[in-house]
Amino acid sequence: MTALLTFAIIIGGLLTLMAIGLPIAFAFLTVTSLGILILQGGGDSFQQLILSMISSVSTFALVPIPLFIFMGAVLWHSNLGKQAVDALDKLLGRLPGRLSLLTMSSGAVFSALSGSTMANTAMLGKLLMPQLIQRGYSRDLSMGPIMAAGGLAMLIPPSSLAVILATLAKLSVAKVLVAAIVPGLILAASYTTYIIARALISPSSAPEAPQERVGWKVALKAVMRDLLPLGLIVMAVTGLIVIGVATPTEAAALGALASLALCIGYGRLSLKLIQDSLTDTLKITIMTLAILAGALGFSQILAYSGATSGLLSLVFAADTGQTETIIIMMLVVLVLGCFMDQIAIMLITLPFFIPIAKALNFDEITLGVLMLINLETALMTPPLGLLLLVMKGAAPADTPLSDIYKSALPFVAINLLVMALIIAFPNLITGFTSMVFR
Amino acid sequence: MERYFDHLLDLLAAICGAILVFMMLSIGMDVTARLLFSYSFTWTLEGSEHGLLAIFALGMPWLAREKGHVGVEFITDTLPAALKAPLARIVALFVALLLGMLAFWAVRAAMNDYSHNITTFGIHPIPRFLLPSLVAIGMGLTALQYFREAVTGGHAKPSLDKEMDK
Repeated sequence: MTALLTFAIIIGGLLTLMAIGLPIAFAFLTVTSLGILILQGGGDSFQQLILSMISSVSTFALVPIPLFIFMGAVLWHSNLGKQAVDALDKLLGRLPGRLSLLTMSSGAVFSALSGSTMANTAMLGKLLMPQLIQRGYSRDLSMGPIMAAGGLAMLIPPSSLAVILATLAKLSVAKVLVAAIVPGLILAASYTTYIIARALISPSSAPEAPQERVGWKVALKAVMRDLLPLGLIVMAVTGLIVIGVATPTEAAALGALASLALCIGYGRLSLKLIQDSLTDTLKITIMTLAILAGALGFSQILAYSGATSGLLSLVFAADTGQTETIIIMMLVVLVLGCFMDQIAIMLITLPFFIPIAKALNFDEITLGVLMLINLETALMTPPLGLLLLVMKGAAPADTPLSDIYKSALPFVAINLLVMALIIAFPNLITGFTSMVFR
Repeated sequence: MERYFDHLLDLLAAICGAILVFMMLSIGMDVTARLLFSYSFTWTLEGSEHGLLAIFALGMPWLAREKGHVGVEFITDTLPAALKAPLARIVALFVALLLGMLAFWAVRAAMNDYSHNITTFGIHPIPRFLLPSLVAIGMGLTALQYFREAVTGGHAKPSLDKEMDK
């Protein structure tokens, strides 16, 4: 059987199981179990699968995931995140497209805190969309920033998705977290520039909102009281990793404890807050660990069946250049990302992509960052991107899907441009990481 | 009987929450002690790894009841209700059988480790049979939860609406 056929059967089987509604974790386990039965004759190999699952989950590098999520959940349920957004609102003053910029910043804060871009899009779509439309904002400047905000949350620390990616690709968690900062800032600057430019070119799409004049004393107080403590936690988490005082796991634990301390300081700590935060954290953590446990065996089956090595040989035989190959990889992620979960995509593609990147002498950390941007881009790429469908459900009932597509496209284009920039100038990432980790 | 099963799943989720808090406190104390007193708890790393496994295994049946195991649903969402409901039952039954089989193999792995007196590697080794035992409990209970869904109906994954309502 050719490598391509083996690969097609395995991936096709997986996608079919997912399509009939099997939860992702169990779809991976089914394919792995079938692979064990067919390729290894079943029996004691299943015991090995159980032990592999145990070792894939019992990994210290995965501990930041629940801790980062808990930190976010605490700040979310205590309303400290919303307080920070209100402070930001005071700072933005009379900037053109102020409400769109605020929507984007809120989205980035809430996505990072809640750990779910989809939940964030649904919430902000329901909460802010009617207000933006009421104030005369065009649909594209209302919905676009809400959907695009998740991309920033995936890049700016603390990003659980970055930790998962680093763990799966066997890369340094600290390096991936730090490497994502520069593209995160470039994306934030690009989104901001686009929104302001749109508001200046077409003032009717973002009419100046009535804004109470805020004196610098009030603004400074809001920043010191509501924005700075939250910012300090995020900076401390990243800073501790960068200066090498703490590992990502330790920094995440300190960040989680600091968020609890902040709640005590603001008098917001309660049993209900802890209970709600723990419930949210456990839901996301267990789901993630179940997918990871199910998928490790899957990548082993891919390797054992010869699909991985066969596909690698095909790539090398095609003799495409480094840039072309990276572009093809990104297209694969973009297509898969339109209908699949982000972790599942990483699990399917990383076992192929990392060896290919190594063979092509392409920096693996840079590849990881490209994947993070791409995974978020795919979520809002028409026609199937899941965020578009969530937005359709959250936006006012008379919003046509074509308007949602139109509002997402400029941000998709910006993401693609930033990815192209990184592929053309990988030094943007490698230079920064080598400077930080000298 | 179902009520007791639900209580059991809630209890397991509470244990997972307690483990998470313990992990956070122990790692926080460890790094603080190391920075301030150059003293390190040697058990934090292995304890956290075992803790993560316990959260995964013991929390899985609770998550199944909460319909938190995500799936791709844009295709099944287009099916007519008359087809969607029986498909969801079949999927739940299939998952129950799959996890039941894996629970069986987890028990075998635990028995094998126990009979050979195998311990984990590390500074603080523990009997290794405890780890597959946790998996066996988690998979077995999750299989029961999915079997319950196959019998009573309902589908074992969150809908888009539920995600949006979060």
